[in-house]
Amino acid sequence: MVSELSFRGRRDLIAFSVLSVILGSGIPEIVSAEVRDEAYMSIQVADEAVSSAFEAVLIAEDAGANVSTLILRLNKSASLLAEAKNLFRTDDYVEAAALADHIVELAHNVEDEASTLGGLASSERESFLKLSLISSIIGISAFLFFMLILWRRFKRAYIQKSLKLRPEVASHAQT
Amino acid sequence: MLKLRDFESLFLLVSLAGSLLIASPILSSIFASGTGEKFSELYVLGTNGMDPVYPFNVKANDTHGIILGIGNHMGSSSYYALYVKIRNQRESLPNSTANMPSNLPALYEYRVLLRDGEVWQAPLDFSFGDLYFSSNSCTLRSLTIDGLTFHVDKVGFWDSESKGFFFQLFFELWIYTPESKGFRFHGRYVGIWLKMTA
Repeated sequence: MVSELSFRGRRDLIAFSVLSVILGSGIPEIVSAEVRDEAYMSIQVADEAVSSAFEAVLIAEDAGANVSTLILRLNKSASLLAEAKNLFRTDDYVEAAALADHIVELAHNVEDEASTLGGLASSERESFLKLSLISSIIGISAFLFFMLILWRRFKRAYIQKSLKLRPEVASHAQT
Repeated sequence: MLKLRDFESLFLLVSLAGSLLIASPILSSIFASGTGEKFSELYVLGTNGMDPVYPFNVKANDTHGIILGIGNHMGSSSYYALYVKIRNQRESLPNSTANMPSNLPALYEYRVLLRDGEVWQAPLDFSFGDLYFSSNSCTLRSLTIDGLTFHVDKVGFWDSESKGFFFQLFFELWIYTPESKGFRFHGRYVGIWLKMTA
């Protein structure tokens, strides 16, 4: 009985040891793969955040906003993104993921400010265009009116001058 | 002497020119177009930032430096990615004509945002670690760039013409395009050949 128990105990111990070795060697790899996947996803999100912020800055710039400060700040995020990607390439997933999370926040702030700045700039531009259009219409109308008056005066003067010349021609014809 | 009809044409012409002159500010803002050719610069300089004197003879674990530069002349702000790659003589280079990048993986990268007319420069320090030489090949195990070590495992072959084992460190310029929501190869690359010495 005792010997049977000890045999079972030894068998269980061996089975447990084998299982531990198998699981023990596999777990770090599974954990590492999980950490790598998480870091990869974080970097992807950060990459998209920086790109999206850049597009917002580009729209603001196109609307005529001064984007110098935003570009400087977004440049910092882009530089950190490159650093995160480089760390990922050296298998430093934890540091890469931490950096990526920080970038997302920075990029979102820039995007929000760029959208506000772009909106302001485009409404300013719209007002400027309206004002320019009204000024142009008034300016052109006034100029054309002035030219019309000038033309009428010139025409009258020209005709009068021509009429003064005619009698002399007629007198020559009579003689 | 000019006839009345000639004067009428002259008045009409002056009226038209004057009207265009008055409307020019609004016309220019409506029909505004980009001026000049749009392009980006990519260059590599020696560490003094002036002469193109690059490192050439490279030993394992010796640190060398160069300066990389990008110039934006695209007419608006641009977002660039600069990829650092390494190849041996047999591996392909990017094709600028076909706008195709090299199919080799990037070891290291820079991300840079530049306003129109701005220039960016950055020093790049590198060292080749673990070089193994045999009679007709040289194996490079790792490359350290700006303090980060990358696993490379690349074989360089004996170049009988130049008498040496060579690797080329090259840099590809990519640009972000909002239309594609991603980076595309910008058709520009520069590189330096490095001779591995024991």
